[in-house]
Amino acid sequence: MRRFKFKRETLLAYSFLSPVLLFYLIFLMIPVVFSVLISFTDWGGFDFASMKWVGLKNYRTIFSSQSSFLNPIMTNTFVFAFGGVAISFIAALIISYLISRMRYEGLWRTLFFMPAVTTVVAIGNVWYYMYNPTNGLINGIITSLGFRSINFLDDPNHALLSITAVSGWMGIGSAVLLLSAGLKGIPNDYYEAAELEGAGHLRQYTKITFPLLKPTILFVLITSFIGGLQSFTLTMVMAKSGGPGNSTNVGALEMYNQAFSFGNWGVASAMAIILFFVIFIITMAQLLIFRKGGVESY
Amino acid sequence: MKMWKRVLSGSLIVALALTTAACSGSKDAGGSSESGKKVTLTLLSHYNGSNEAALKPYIDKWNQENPNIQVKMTPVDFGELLKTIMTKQSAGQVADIMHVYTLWGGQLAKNNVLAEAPQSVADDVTQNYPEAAVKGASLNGKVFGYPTEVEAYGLFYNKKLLKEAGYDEPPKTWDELLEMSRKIEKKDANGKVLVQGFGFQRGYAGLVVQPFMAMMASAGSGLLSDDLAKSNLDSDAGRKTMEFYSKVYGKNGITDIAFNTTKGFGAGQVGMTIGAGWWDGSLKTLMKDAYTDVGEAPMPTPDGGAGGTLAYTWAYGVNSKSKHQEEAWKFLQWMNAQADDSGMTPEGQFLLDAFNVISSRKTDLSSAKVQEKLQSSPSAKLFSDALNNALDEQSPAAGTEAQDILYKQIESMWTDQIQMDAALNNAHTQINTKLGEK
Repeated sequence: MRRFKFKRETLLAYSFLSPVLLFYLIFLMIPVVFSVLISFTDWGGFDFASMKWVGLKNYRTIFSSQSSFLNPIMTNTFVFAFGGVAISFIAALIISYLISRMRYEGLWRTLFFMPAVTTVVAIGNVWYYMYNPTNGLINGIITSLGFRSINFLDDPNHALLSITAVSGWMGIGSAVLLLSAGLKGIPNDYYEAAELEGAGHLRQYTKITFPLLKPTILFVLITSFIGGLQSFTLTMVMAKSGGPGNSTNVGALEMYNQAFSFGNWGVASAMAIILFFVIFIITMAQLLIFRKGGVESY
Repeated sequence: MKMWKRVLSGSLIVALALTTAACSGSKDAGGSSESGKKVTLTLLSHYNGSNEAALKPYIDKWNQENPNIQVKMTPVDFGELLKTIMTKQSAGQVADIMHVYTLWGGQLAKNNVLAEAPQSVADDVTQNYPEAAVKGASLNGKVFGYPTEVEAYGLFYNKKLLKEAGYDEPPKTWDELLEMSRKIEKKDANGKVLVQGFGFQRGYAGLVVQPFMAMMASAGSGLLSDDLAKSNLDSDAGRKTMEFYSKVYGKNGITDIAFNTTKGFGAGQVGMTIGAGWWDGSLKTLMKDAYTDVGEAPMPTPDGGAGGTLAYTWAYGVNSKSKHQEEAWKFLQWMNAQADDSGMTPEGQFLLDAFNVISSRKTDLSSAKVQEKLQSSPSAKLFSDALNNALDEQSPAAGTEAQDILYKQIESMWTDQIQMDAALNNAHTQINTKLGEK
């Protein structure tokens, strides 16, 4: 009798879960499995009859000496993701702390969040024109101060950093929102007690704010970093195919071009699988580092 | 383990079944293809904005005269057209008629995207178009559609800027071109380019690589061998062209890569550049009165002798997965082969009105309107004549990829990431590898 009851409850639970599970199966599991399968084939993306099993050939192509996927493309991807996260995270950490102590906190939060609700294409285009070496706003200021203009997007020494800076700027808003929420969760009593004990602002920040904000920081870092590794729209808008040469090309943009421009769906899928493992390893490493630092909630 | 295998194979079967189902049928927007019933054909092309507006009256005319076969245009930006074709095809939302850039031909053929043309269309194309156009509209020797824009490359120059620098005629050799450019170029105290002597247009692979191929053709060689099996970059023509390219931008270049040549030419700030014939129509609209300063000339050659150029082709084809192929061919025959009272086809009139481009179809060429245009417009005559000694743009299955490889090597050389020799060798080796793979 008891067993029957358990089965009925289980069935009921699964029936409630079934829409979500079905959604998960159709829109996540099937594409993932399909991608793995395609990565071992030569396929142009149109006709299943033309799909040809090639074993590990696509992976060998990616790791061959002629391939630019590992260097410079994956190197660029890391610089872009690390750089973007570093800019947005450090800025957001400072901004969220400051605005939590200012009047009109909501207004400031809204202002900083605005880039996050604007389309990447619009942001990319605005910055593209601001970076313009002949009539862009930034170079206008630089030349008016008597310096030579900078080829932000045409000089391979500056191009990737210029796009990374925009990515970092774009990410500030979301990070501020999350960190502000984290700051709100810290009881004020701790600060009052610390103040009574004579702790200054810096000591309060390092001994109370930062340790209690660690779970939020971990979430912000992991999600931003994954987003950075998968990002390609901004690069596509500002540097078209990742140029000059491959100096701004990133993993996701290369995959997109391999699949949709060149019809190399097998190579593109193999790149996606490699990127998946890279993201997985880095995320695990981040979790491990934070666990050692005392964050157990993830 | 067995359970896992079962789950995996089950997932694969479901995935394949779902995707096959999605890809199996075209979007039947307007009804069945049975005779007498209304059919709506979708037409995917890169004609958007003002070009779409120029094409629309002809589509509207067809739709009025043929209530049972309606044509609906879907304009897509050139840069996104191949990607759109591929994503739509993968998603089962196939367009019945596609206007394709023939560089993509090999890739589309490999994936069986385009249907073979009926015999009547194939005969019409082979009899009424020049060889470069027929080759452009053929895959593996079989005609797949109607050639439309067949465009040759030439030198565009600004008469006023050349005159100010003391020149009455455009350059005939590559050395003359470089020498004249240095004299025309003007910079301010900070090194900012005010007037560019000569510059290549930049932005995407085709914009950089097609002029490269045109220059290589003017030096006597195509980018690839005739059998499309290997790169000709290691030839004398290939080396000379890359050498010329290395002298334009970069540390030892004659001008600054950051200067926008395309916009600059329209603003009267560029002395010379390389462009395709269609650009003349755009410049006319953009420059208004200043258009009188624009001159066009055949491609300069390394030694000043008679040289070739590159011709690329666009063509209308029918989707192999379309359920309305018969109706689609009917429309294309009307659009491309049926002359009106003036002796011109709708496509011929559209090309002339929208781009100041002469149709390569023989019946259009012999019409009074085209003959009058050839007399009155030196530009139209120049680019029309250029087709006679133009090499067609080769389209192997790895054509887009080969151009991308060359583009990235040229850009790397222009931005001093690599030297000229490395750019040439890398491009040659990598293109050969890609051609070998496909």
